Amino acid sequence: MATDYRGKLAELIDELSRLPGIGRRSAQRLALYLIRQPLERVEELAAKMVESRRHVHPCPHCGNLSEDECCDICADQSRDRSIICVVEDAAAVISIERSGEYGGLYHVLGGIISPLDGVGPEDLTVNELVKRAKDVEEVIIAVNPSVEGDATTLYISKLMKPLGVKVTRLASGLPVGGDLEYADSVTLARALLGRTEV
Amino acid sequence: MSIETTDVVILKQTPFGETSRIITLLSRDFGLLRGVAKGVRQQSSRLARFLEPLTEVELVLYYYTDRDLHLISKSSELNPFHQLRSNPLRLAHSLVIVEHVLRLLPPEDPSPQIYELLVESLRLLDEGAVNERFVLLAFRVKLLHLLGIAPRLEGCITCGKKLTSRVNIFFPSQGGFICEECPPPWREGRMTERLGERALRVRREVIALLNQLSKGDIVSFGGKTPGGGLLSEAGRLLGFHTNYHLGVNIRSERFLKEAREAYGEK
Repeated sequence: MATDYRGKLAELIDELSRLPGIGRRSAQRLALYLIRQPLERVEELAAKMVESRRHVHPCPHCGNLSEDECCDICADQSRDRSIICVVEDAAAVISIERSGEYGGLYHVLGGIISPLDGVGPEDLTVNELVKRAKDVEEVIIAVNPSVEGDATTLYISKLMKPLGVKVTRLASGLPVGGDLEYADSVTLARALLGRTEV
Repeated sequence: MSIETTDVVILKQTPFGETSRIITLLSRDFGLLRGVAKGVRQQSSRLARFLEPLTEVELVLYYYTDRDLHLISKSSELNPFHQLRSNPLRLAHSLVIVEHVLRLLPPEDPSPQIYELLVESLRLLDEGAVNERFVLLAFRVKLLHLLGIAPRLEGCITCGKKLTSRVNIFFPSQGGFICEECPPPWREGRMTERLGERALRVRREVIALLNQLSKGDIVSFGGKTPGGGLLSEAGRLLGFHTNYHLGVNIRSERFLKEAREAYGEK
């Protein structure tokens, strides 16, 4: 082990460094911060982590995170049940909800097709999506405009075709405040294809 | 440290910290390398749009001789290959090509021929005029030749005689074919026994196809794609050989298979 820390503190650093986005140095900083805190505060934090893990689970319908049997969005009868917005993870649900422009249901894929990392459709909730899509009119694919996002979109749209469901993708193109002069040709081509009437 | 300008093909991006990415790329001048692109996950970044995988760009980078992670400073577009991303089969094939580069090339060992081979293969897939499987097969044959690890295709590796049988047996452990007259690479039993997973029966036409591809290019086929399962059989031989010698399983082939099934190709 590379660290000079020993015993319980070294174990804590090891555990923290397993968290996503936390390297060894950050783990050391967090561990040292935690041991300087009052014991009650650390106990409270530990209790919150255990409680969240116990009570928060994926919604059986859409895969969004929920504490109840099904999530608030699926339970809300006022939402438009003829549209499903497909997202990579639960964080994307929050982002789209913040926009205030969408009133349909969601489907959380639990990742994105990433062929170079060996992540394929069967590692995601694609089959569940196909089952749900039989009862809707439109599926909006809201994944990042990356190579992985394109692979996911193309694959899902192919599966949706026999169902006769309208499949759309979030528009991509020039960002608000963007500059034509600095736009790359892929972005410009997509902006032209996705142009809207004013 | 030196400031270098070089043509590169972007192969892969990985998030790094809150706002940056590590970009893996193939440079014409420096080979396979990794660089940090700072702040490119922010919406305001002007660099991000020129660091998309499957594009050829001109890059300015701070090249450190004592580190394996360099700093990407500027980028401008050369070949966006944007049709690749609008067709699932072309996209899946190009990702298999990219993974071969990522997993078979040693880091920072420049090879302008491999760079040209990659750009040409992506261009062919982007244009869509040639069958995707054929482009992938030609790429794999040439890559193995350029890396010096190609299977030997001409004659029996034991006696050197020309392969005349309709079906010949390829032994990855030997790196080539052994004719029926020579003893198998095990002590007891005939050639046709105990082949199991240690050898592959290959048609004569497949050997001829691989030979032609290793010496020429797709253009020499005059726009005709070999049929009759030759491409699949040749691909299986190369996969078997690569896996045996390098222990490399190309993960993106799984997606390629799924994409082919989804689009009704076998």
